[in-house]
Amino acid sequence: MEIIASLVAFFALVAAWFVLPSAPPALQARAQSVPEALATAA
Amino acid sequence: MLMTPGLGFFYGGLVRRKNVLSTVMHSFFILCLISVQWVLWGYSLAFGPDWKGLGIIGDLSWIGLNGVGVKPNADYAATIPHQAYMVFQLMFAVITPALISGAFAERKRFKAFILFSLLWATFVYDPLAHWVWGHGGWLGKLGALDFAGGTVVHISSGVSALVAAWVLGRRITHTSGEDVEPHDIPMVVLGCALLWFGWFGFNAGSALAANGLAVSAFVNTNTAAAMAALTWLTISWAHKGVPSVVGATAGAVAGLVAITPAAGYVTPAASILIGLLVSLVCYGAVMLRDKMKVDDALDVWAVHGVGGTVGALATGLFATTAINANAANGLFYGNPKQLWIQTIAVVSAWVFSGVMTFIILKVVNVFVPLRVTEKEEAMGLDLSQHSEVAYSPS
Repeated sequence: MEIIASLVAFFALVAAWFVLPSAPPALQARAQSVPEALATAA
Repeated sequence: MLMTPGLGFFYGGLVRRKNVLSTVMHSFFILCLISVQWVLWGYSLAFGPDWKGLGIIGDLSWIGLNGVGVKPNADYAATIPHQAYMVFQLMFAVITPALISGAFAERKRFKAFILFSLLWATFVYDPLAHWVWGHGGWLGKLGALDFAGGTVVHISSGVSALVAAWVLGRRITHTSGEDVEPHDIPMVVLGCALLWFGWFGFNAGSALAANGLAVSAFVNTNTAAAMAALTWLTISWAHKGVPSVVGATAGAVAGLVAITPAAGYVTPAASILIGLLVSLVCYGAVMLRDKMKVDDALDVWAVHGVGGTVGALATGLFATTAINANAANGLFYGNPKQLWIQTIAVVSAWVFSGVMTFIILKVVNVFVPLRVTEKEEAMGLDLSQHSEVAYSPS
């Protein structure tokens, strides 16, 4: 029973990784501003 | 366990600063992913009772470590708890797919990396480990010698790296002319040092006891790594006019790779010759890779695939029962058959790993694009895949 539950839990995580977004739009926007900040700092 | 984070530092220092986090993450994530996969089904496939007596793969009777307790299993290690053997083998299972990540660094989509790693561990590493080390595995029964993973770990990862780099294609930097120099060489040296230290656990630990064989493997490991580093440094100095720091670390890793299958079978003098030989051959392989249109970003094939092949074949030359009475002599000790057996193991590992990796990548690509977009690649994987930066501008 524990083994089945642990298999289910693991595959639930794996499935979640493919449903979750690669990077939320807000973070993508922030991400795009960082190279500019890096360039400015340099 | 230290080796895989060490590999993360080694690879992380070699890439550009916009990709360092994603590269370190590959190693760290695999440590977590395979730790669970191994307990659930990986160990059973690799080391479980042989399925139908074919010598191809273990069955699933040890799924979830069912029946794998603290009582020793005499088929593998009669003097240590079975779970200790299992968790020792886990570390090999962890680092092998992590090694491949150097080939597709700076361009692989994180979700594709996850799926690839899980499938590769299950359908490439686990069967191959069974062939060589599993009770009833066909290469083990044939008499193939692989003390700590020259075939199982390094040939499999190196050949798979070459296939992965070929399937993914070249980084856009190779057409734009963008500089691809290592961003942090001290990090590379740190990673190399951690790998070297961890390798003692792999090779000496493969004696599965604190005894003379473990000491022999320890001495051989250190000697071959040192000799290979010195040799690579000398070749690159003669070739490029400077004693490269990165070159010395690459040489050390090549030496560690080549001595891995031989560590418990050869004399210290032979380990010096293996260290010399592997740097000569692997340096040539790096130059060959330069001429190929395959962008193996961190030379995984040249160092691990070729280095592992050198080590496996050298085992067939230098192995002696004077070091390990339970093994076999090599060609230089009057047993040419051993070299033939080693060649069969090498060819089998090359073909199996290469074909299976190609198939797995094509399957993954059906569900998740293997590569990031050009825009994401230009931005760097740290930002595009993880929305984080390694070094804050503030």
